[in-house]
Amino acid sequence: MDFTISAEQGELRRRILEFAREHLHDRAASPVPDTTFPRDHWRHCASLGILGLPFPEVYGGGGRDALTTVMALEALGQGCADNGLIFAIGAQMWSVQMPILRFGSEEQKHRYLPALCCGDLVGAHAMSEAQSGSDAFSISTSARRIGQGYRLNGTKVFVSQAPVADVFVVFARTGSDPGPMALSAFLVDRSTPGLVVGPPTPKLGLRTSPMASLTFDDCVIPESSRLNLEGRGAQIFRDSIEWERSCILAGAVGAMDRLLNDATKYARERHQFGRAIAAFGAIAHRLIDMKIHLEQARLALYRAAWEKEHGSDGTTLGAIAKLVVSEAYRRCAILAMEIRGGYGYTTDDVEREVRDALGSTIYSGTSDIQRLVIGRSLGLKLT
Amino acid sequence: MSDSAIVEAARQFILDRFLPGEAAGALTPTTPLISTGILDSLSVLELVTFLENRYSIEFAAHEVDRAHLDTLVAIESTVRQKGGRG
Ligand SMILES: Cc1cc2nc3c(=O)[nH]c(=O)nc-3n(C[C@H](O)[C@H](O)[C@H](O)COP(=O)(O)OP(=O)(O)OC[C@H]3O[C@@H](n4cnc5c(N)ncnc54)[C@H](O)[C@@H]3O)c2cc1C
Repeated sequence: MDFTISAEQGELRRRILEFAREHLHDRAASPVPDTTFPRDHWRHCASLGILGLPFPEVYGGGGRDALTTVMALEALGQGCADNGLIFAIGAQMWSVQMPILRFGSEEQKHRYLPALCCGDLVGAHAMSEAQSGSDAFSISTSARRIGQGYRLNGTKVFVSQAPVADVFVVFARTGSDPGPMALSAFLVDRSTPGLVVGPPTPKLGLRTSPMASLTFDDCVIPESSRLNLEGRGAQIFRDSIEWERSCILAGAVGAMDRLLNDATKYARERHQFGRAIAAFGAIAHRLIDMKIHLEQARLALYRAAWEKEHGSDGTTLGAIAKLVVSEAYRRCAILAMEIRGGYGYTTDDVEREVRDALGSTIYSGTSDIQRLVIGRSLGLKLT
Repeated sequence: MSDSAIVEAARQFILDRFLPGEAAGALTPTTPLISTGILDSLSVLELVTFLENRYSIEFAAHEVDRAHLDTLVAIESTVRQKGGRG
């Protein structure tokens, strides 16, 4: 296992960092916050090849390995303070593009992947329901066979990018038995009659990543929209959530780096009692703890990405990365806030950073659920 | 008589993945797997993915059940019926 950054990886990171610093200024942090989905920035990232990084070139991607990809996304998070944009990019890459690549037909891959990679289409992932969150396989949205297709009925919640998405990966129940093969996945275009996108869901942070519910009211879709075989929904979900857990917090590691740099600078410049506050042990320790969190998180991220490429236990290492990085990210953001005193709590940049970071221990499975997954790998029978 | 290669491969997978630290002897060819809870519904999915990849076969949704997968012997016969070779 070698995490030395190669010349090529270093060059890619430098390019992305410069691009992000120069072009992706954060409107949500400006004096008049703009929390609309930054489609121009989205397109700009896509044109730089960011959304396509780990996808094969035949489908419009960059053909990079998982480790190089997370290293690049880390640089994006370091240079760009719009955490909602970075989250949205990760959500699409891992929970929309990846299942299409790994389970789609050639026709589906050619139809969707190049358009998603280049920014022409925005994709969203619809699993969660009002009564089915952590217990993801208990969903009740149904897909009933009718002639050459299916009829969808049900409601999805918490769908990131739903207000702006063009295509949805939707999980629904195709079988009546409660077994593991009762779910299937579908690719549903936004324009399909019977699909209604709800109003934007207000939330604490990540406000540039808009969220909404989806309602399917006798929404008829062709058989060709099914992803892989009937009954493969749970396997598709498991596979894509493993990628998501392993990689979605790459940008957060970059954000931690940015928070630490800003906090160090602030602590050197801010004076109280005739000294820079960095000279106080209590403040120095906060900076030191931020550094420790950052390095632990980075290692967990690289380790999980390496496992996806070379190892066989991506499930466990992905869960560990998700848990370690998100918990570290939350703590770092709160430490950064404390270092700024009252200025960290009033609406300067760090207040928003804290709100953005707090969601990370919830999406892609809460920390409790990651512990369950890790426990299972130890042979513990937990529910 | 020694167990077939398919039984052995499935046994090793289940031991490594779901029963770490358990002795190989704990899993005989006829130990019930699903009805005893050794395999829950998520583990069954992982087992199916493993068998499909290793033997280049495909399970239909209705075949992923106790009748086809509850013991190592049942697993072997399901894999063989689908043309998988040990
Ligand atoms: C910012 C954000 C973006 C999201 N984007 C999407 C998206 O694009 N698509 C999508 O489908 N979903 C999305 N989600 C939903 C997310 O996946 C769920 O919120 C998450 O899985 C938890 O489900 P829940 O909210 O229903 O909580 P619940 O499952 O009701 O959990 C409530 C509490 O109980 C705990 N808990 C539950 N079960 C157990 C257990 N077995 N053991 C111990 N503790 C347990 C949980 O950890 C939590 O603390 C998003 C969520 C957020 C916050």
